[in-house]
Amino acid sequence: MQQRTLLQPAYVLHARPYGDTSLLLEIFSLDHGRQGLVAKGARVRKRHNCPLQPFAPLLLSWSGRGELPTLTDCDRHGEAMGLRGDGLLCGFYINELMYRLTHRHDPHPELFKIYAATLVRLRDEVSQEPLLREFELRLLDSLGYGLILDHDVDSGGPVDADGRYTYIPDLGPRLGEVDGNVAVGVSGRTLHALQRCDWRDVDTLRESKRLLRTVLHYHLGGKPLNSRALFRTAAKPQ
Amino acid sequence: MATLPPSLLRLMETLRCLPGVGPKSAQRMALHLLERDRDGARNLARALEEAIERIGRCDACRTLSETALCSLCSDAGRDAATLCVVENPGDVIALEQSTGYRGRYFVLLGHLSPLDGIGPVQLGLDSLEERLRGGTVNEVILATNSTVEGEATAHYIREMAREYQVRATRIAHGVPLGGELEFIDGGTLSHALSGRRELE
Repeated sequence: MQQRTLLQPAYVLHARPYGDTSLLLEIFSLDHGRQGLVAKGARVRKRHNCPLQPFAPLLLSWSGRGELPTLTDCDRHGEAMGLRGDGLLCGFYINELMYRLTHRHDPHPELFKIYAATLVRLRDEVSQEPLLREFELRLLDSLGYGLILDHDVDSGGPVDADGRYTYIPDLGPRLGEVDGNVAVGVSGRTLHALQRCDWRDVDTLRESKRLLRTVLHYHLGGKPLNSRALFRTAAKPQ
Repeated sequence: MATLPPSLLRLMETLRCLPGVGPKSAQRMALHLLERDRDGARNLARALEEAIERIGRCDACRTLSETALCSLCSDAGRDAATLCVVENPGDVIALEQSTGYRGRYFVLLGHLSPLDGIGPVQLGLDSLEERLRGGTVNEVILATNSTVEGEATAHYIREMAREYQVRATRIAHGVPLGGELEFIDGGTLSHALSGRRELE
C-alpha cells in the first residue's frame, strides 16, 4: 500500500546530490520526525519556486513505502530565515546536532517547535552563545537525555549554590572534585543558573559550555562534530 | 544478453559511468561506435587515455591543468592582486567565457558541508590562507554558489580575509537579465532589493 503524507511542516536538515538530477534530502518534520526523501529532478526543475534548502520553513508532501519515499510537493511555509554570517554557521551546527542525535521516524513535535524557534532567534539575536546553550539543553531534554540540575545524585539532596560538583554524563551531578575522564567539574551556581536558563554571568556561560560539550560528546559516541571546524572567531559554539 | 560478446558487455557497462547514461543509452553508444564510427572510437579511447595521463591539478588554484601551474595562473598579464574564489572548475570556464575578468582564481572543488564531512581542510582553505597571508592579494571576490553552503563558505573566507586585512567582496545576486519581477522567487527578489544600487 502506498502511504501518502500531505503538507507536512518540515525543514531540510541536509540535501545532497542524488543521481544526475535528483536530491537526497534529510528532513525534520512536525509529525514524522527525521526522514529521508528523494526529490526527483529537483536539481534541474525548480518546483513552485521553492528552494529545497536548509533553514527555510516548508510544507512537504511525499508518498511511497520503505526508507526513502519520494517528495511529491513542496510549498513555502513562511519566509526563509535568511541566516547570515555566524548565524548561518550556528545553523549548520544545530543541524548537525539534529542529524546526529535524532533517529529516523521518531516523531518529536515539541523538538520541531524548539528547532523552529531557535532558527528565528539565530536570525534576530546578536549573541548566539546563550541560544545555542538553550537549544542544546532542550534538545537533550526532548530526546530523554535531559540533564539533572536540581539534586545531587548521591545524597538526593538539593544542589548547593556554593558547592563544587562533578557531572557524570549518564548519571548527574555528584559533590566533589572530578575523577575519571568523561566527567566534568561544575559549580552549584552554574547548575542553578542552567535550570533558569540565566546566562547573565560569563562564568556560567563558560562552565555551561564545557558541561554541555562533555554531555553531547558522550551521547555522540565520542565522534567530533564537523561543524565546529567552521568557526574561526569568538562565536565558537563549543 | 548471454549472446553478446563479453568485451561489448564490458564496454556498455563502462559507458554507464558517464552522467545521464543508463543501460539503454550505453547500448546505443556502444553499437554506434562499433558499427558506424570505429575511427571515432579509437580517437575517443586515445583522447581519454591522454587526458587521464596528463591532466592534474594546478598547484596555485587547484583547477584542472596539464602543467604544474595552469595557463591562467602563469599568465603574467593577469592581475595577481585580485583573486576570485569559485566552487568548481566549471565556474572558472563560465566566468572566463562571459566576463572580462582579468584576475586570478582559486577553485575550492566543493563547499563547506559539515554533514558530508567537508570542512576547511578538504577545500584547501589552508593554502588559500597561506596566499592571503603572503600579502600579494588585495581583494578576494567570493563567487561561491548562492546556496546556504555557498554562503557559509563565503562567510568563512571573508573572516579569513579580514584577519589579513584583505578586502572581501561578494558577487551580486538579483534579477537575471531579461527577467520579469513577477516570476522571480521571493528570496532572490528580496536580495535584489536589499542590494540595490545608485542608478548611474
